[in-house]
Amino acid sequence: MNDIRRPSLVKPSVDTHFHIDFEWWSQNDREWRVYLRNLLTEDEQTRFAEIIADDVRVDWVDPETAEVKPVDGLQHILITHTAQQEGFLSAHTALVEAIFRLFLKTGNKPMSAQEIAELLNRPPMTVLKTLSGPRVYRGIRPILG
Amino acid sequence: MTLVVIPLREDYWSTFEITDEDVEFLYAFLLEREEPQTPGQLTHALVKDRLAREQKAAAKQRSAAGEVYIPKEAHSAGDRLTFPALGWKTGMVTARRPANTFMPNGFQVITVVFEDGSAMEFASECEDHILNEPVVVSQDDPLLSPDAIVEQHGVSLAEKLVAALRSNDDFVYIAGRWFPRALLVDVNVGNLNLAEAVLDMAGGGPLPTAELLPQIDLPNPDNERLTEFSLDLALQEDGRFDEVGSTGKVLWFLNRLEPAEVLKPPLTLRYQEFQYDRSLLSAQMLELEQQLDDEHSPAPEHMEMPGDEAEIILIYPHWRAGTLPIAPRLRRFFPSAYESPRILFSFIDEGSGEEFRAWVVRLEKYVFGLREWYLKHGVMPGSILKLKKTGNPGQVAITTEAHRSTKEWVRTALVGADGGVVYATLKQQVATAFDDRMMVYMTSEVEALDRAWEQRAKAEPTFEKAVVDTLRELAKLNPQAHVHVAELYSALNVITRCPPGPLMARLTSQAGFVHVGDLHFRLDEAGGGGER
Repeated sequence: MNDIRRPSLVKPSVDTHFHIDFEWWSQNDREWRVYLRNLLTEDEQTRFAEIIADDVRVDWVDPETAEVKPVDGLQHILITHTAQQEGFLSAHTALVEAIFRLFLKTGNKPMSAQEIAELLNRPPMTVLKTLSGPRVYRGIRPILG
Repeated sequence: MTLVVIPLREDYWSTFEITDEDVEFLYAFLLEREEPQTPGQLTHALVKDRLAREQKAAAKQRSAAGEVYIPKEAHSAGDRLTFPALGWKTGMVTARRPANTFMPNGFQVITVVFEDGSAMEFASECEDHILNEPVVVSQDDPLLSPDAIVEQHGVSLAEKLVAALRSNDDFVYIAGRWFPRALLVDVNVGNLNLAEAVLDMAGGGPLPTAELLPQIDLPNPDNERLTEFSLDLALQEDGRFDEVGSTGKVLWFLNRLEPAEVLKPPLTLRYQEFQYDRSLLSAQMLELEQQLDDEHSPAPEHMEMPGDEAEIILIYPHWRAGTLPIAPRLRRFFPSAYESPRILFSFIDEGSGEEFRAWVVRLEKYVFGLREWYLKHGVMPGSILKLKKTGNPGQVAITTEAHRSTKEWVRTALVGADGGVVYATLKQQVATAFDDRMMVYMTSEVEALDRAWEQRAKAEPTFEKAVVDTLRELAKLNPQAHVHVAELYSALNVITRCPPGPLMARLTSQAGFVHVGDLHFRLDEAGGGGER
């Protein structure tokens, strides 16, 4: 009997957890840093110029264990500062952008389509369809395994 | 913040086993209390003690491990630290450097090497972190709150506790309470003989222990409850006495003066269990089985329980024996007990207010003591009886609606001298409300039927023949010869005890019975008429 090669696709459900996979994004989209940098205000770009430069790593403190891990300076500024500003995520933001901003606002904590839908007040199936299509938006990918 | 101080496994309480140390604690606890304790009280005490012991052990382990890591404090190379957030892992600080951060209040980063050789970096001199707040025990954690633990695992913990105490001669049990044998007062044969005489004088009982105590020459007690418990135990271990009180109430009765029908089930209630395939029963049959409420039917998984009132349709075996079934739906109406197989209580006739004594025969699932009441009120097999709770667990109200018309055409059982039963629809004086399908009016020839039951008890069971004969007889009363399962169930029980399940399984599975719809059956005489 011949071996049949099957594609290694796993179909996510409303309970599958997603996150922004920065590593995957950086390897698959050369413009990713440009996109992230544009989320910062002009004032922030000036203020944090040294930190948001390429390859700068900063010390991030785990909020539960106080373990220190090196993280990308730009991501760190976005998550800990920019995303926490009032108006970063509004009710009128387009769904894909709203999901991305929600992940930044919540520290890129893994969330299911169900949880995202509840926080954004959108139907869970719409969120799932958006995230589980063949195109990966802004590095948002399921956590499998 | 809250942190779990005792590192208990998730399955700690579900995999709980009683140790020798636990038994020692329970013994000491009972000695200290000097009062019998229920399994529930002992379980609660044991859970509290276990938590205290685990807490003590954990504290001891931690004090030996090193200083607890708190991010705001300054740490330097050589410090030995314990990390609560990492399951109390212990490690040594080996390096320290300023943090690379844009935050206005900077912090230091320390490198910690753990006992397993792994290394991690942690924040030090970091003012803004949740771990800076003191470690406290979570009162809401279901793993650490005795009340929550008992609520969630109480039943299984109590079962394990009782099993451990049962296997230990140092503990004694009566009326739902445990006590250490060492504290018991000596009750001798002379005291017990006096107790027998006192109960004899009271017509067998029932008498509470407190009433027996002053009359049986036991020395004046220092602790009255202790003496009472000691007498309870001595009476329990002596076959002459039966404890007949409902849950939480101790009442004594002389075994030899209890009614024979309580000590041994009356002939008409004895059921020889039939093996049958329950998957043969349709949804409609299962629904009817539940409505018929036979004490030998299996309790359904989901059942709508009655409130403070319930109705029951009587069948012949209970009518003849003067009993009521303790079917799943009716169980809550009658008093229960932890151990006593027989419980004495009283019925109150709701119409007249008359109160009369009755017995719950717990294991055989019936209530005895209604024969006279049935005769007095003209109750028949098929009569509808009403039970009501009274607010007093030792008393149940009973009534039956009087029938409006004086004469009614009803199915009447005619019993031959040989005990054979034929049916005719005759005009009879009916005194109570009744169920059309299950009504079987009994004339006065029940003695011949009694003899037939006695003979049948000695002979080989002939269930199939009884079903066919009864169906054939009932079919004669109906122009289409169709008989409903409820009619057949009621009439079949005039000659043999059988719950609806086996009857319905046979009607469904055997050739010769034809289902004509809506639980009506007829005999296919050409096809063998159900006989095998």
